[in-house]
Amino acid sequence: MGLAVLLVGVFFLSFFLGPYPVPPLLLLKVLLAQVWSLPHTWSPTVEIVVLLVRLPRIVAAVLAGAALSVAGAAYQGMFRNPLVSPDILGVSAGACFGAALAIYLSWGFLAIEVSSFSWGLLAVLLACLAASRVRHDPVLALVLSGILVGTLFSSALALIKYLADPYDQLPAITFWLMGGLGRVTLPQLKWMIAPVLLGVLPLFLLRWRLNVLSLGEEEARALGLNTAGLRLLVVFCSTLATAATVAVSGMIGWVGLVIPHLARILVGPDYRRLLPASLLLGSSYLLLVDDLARSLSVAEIPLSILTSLVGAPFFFWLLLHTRRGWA
Amino acid sequence: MKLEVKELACGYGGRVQGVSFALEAGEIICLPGPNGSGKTTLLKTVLGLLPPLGGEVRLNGKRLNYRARRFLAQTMGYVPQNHIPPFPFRVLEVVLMGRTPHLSALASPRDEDLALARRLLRDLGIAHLEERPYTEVSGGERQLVLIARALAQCPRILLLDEPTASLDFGNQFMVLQNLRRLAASGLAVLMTTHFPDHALLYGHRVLLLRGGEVVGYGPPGEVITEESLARLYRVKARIVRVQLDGAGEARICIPLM
Repeated sequence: MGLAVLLVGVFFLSFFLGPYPVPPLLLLKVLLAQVWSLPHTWSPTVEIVVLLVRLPRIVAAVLAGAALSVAGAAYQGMFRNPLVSPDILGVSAGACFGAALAIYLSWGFLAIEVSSFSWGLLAVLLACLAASRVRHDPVLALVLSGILVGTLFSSALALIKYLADPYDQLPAITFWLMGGLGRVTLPQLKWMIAPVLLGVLPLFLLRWRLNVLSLGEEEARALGLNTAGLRLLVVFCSTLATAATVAVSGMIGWVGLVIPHLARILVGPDYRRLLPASLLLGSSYLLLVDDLARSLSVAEIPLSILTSLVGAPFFFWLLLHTRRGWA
Repeated sequence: MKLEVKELACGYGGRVQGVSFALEAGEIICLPGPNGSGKTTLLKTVLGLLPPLGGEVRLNGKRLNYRARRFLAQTMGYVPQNHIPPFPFRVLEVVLMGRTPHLSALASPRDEDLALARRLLRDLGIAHLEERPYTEVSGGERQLVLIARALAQCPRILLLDEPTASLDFGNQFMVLQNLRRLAASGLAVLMTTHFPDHALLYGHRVLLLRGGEVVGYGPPGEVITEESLARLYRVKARIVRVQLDGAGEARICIPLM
């Protein structure tokens, strides 16, 4: 509950940050005017700043934070390991490769995203196919295949970087990989919303079963679950949400790994509370960090640098000051 | 309720062969046997967690369909070997997970599930642990929590894998007394154990496994003998009858040094 208030607070706060000042009352009017018809008493500049510049970016940050932390929370339970992040099955490596490939081939902006998203899905599909050939422990097989596929795509990415034009393409690839929400526009947002919702919503509905799945393969089956099907569904949903996020914002490390921990410290491991808490916390956190990224200096600071720079000391402080530790 | 196992073969490379027994409501069947004798494998195969290689398992005369996971979970409750899971769920949450086979895919436990879980905790005498993290209670208490979780499935058969392993003397007794009470209330119980004494004291029948083969099946007094213990564990032991004040007679094993 408190977390929901936090998110709403951060959400509105984020509209005020930036070089163009927007008074609170005016902001409310501009936003409400989208739902109700209100007399337009403001200048078009205000409307552009609020609706076309700040709104897409804020919504993208909320979506990205939610997607990464919900996917991370689901994976940590499914793999029964609190050190797992959403890219364990190679989705980020695949998505980065896809983006770099598109930049190397000088494709357009939208093509970069489509390529990134598709290669992210393809990487995880490869990992699942490889895992299905292994006869032993299915969860371990999935992790190992994920690592293998991730390594393959990382090498392919390195190869593209090596081949890329060092004055033009290489910096473009590097900046893309560093991540950021500065390039998000309204039409892109539409492409992001659908896959993120499609990924997060089923996980949300299945949150009780995620509890049971985290007991391990045998116990979950003994409690009546079709573990193979459920696992596939969790992988699919998490991958969809993560790939859409990486395609729009580049690599954003740390959020999917640590936000579920924070949420677990706050509300315990029961997914009925953990999943909503992760979602709210992840959204607020990424939004706050993105606010910092765009207002700390004149130039924009890449998001992935800040997520860990801010998060690591904070997490350490939390570790020192909570009794229950990090499980 | 009757569970019949006929000529069951299971385990990696068919290590366990030709196991037959029948279990009825109110009975406790004990599976003593040395490490590696195939007890756990047999238990997991009956549960459908491992694929059977031959033979069949029948419930009330009907062959069990091992793809109907939900039905299986409503029929058989499984108490795995004591272990500590990675996430500190609260005791009540762990017991509630036993309700899963009775919930639809997208549902969470409702108030009546909560009430049932609380009642089970109370029956097993651990209601005060409700809010404690499952990872932090003692081994004996954790065992009782797992039994409560299996009972929350409302099963007709309870299968337990070494429910008394790593428990102290008092907790072993407490767990076994609870199992006896549950059997008396109409549950069928199949349990593996390290201790021949437990089979002698609590089993209605005993299935002796050695190296994946059945070497004895019947009432504990007939199956657990000085000869069978010598063959099973390579230990010389005496079986002693003890006269109990007003509680009949009991047998116990005493290893000879």
